[in-house]
Amino acid sequence: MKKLLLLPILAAAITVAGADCFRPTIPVQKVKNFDLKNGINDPAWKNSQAYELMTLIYSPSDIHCRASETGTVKYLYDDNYLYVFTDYIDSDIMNFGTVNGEHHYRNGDLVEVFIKPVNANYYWEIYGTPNNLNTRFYFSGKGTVGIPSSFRHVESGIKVFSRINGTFNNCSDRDQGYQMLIAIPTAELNRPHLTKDHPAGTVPFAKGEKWRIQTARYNYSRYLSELEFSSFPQTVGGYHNLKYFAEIELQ
Amino acid sequence: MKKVLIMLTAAFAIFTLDAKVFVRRALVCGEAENFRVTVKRAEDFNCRPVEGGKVKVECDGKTLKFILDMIDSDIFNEAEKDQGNLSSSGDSVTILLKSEKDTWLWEFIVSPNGKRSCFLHPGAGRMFYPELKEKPGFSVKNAITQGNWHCEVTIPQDLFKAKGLSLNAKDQWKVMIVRRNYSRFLPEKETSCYPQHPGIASNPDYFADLIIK
Repeated sequence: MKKLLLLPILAAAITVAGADCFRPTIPVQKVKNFDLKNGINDPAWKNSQAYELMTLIYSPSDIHCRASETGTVKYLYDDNYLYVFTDYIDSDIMNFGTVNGEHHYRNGDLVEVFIKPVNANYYWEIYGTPNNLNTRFYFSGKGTVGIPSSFRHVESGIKVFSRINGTFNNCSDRDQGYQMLIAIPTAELNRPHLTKDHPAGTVPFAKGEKWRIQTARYNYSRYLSELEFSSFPQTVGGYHNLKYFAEIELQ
Repeated sequence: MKKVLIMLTAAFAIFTLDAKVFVRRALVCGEAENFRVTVKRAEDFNCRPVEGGKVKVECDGKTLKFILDMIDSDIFNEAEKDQGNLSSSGDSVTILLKSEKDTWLWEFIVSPNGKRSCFLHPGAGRMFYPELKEKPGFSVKNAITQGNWHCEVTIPQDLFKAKGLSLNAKDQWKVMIVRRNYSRFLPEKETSCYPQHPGIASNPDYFADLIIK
């Protein structure tokens, strides 16, 4: 009888709290002898699963839609870095940023990588631009996004390598797209955190630990009727919707 | 000169037109998929229903068998006859099947008390529910335990042969499965589906590819 009474209370609680959602699980292979400088061409990418970016959902009609200029993302890791490889179609490749640490989404095209441990509130927002710049923002929790300290870039050893098929910052022609490798140091993901920021402490970025990731883009183009947003996994309303991030399984 | 101008204008329009492209999900024979809530707003994307369920399909070349496992706190259907619109009288599962080769749309509805309905619609834009005298032509097997409705729906190929279709990959089948869950313990009737779709469930544009192996 008690169980029967508990069920409607549970149902109501779930309804009020917001429904849980399904997330894809990404197995990430460990790679050996990865040559970072030539990483875009590493043969390990050939056997790596490609995940397609889908348009940002603002209304129900956006569900399961891809943007008109699509792209894919792949992941590998080793003891030193998490590697994020993106291959984006882009008719007008551009970014007017000049230094690391800028809000490069205001400057032009970029790749955004969001990564967080499941059992802690902190997470990173990392940018790579087609002109090989990076930015690293760190948030102690979603509730602190936007405060000045959360948008304070710190040089963390992130490396960005891009290969452009077309011209850069030249809208007089039509480009094909670009590939980018972003290498995120595992030392950054494993750096110690202050207890007062997150009681869970530091969650190791290591096999067996639970982490989540999302890769996204801003796509500006003279050939598009508006700036295009897309991500893998597909997400709703904006790129800080943490519940849609994919689960990583480090192999 | 006029032709060149028209071609250039068309080319410019093609280059500048951009549109989102809907990407179909897939239901692969032998692989289970979870139901998602039906979408009323963007935030429903990929959300789990309160009372979840899974669907798996098996195909042996002669029949399609849909195997469903659903959590259900209040299992019932008040329908007393086959070949009615069972989803308005209690818990039900609707399976919509269509081949890319034609517009015919089959709608199979089953209930936990073993009732079955099969409606053949000329197309998704012409769906009516007349009183039917024919037998449903397919079978359902239910197993009900405390809080769980397990259901197996077996659809024979013969149903499609009259329209020149067979259960094979060549006929490019598309499928939508919708569950309507009534329960005194839920704040409202819960509708869930696979694949999750942004519009009307019976719109074949949103159906999943049925991958027959």
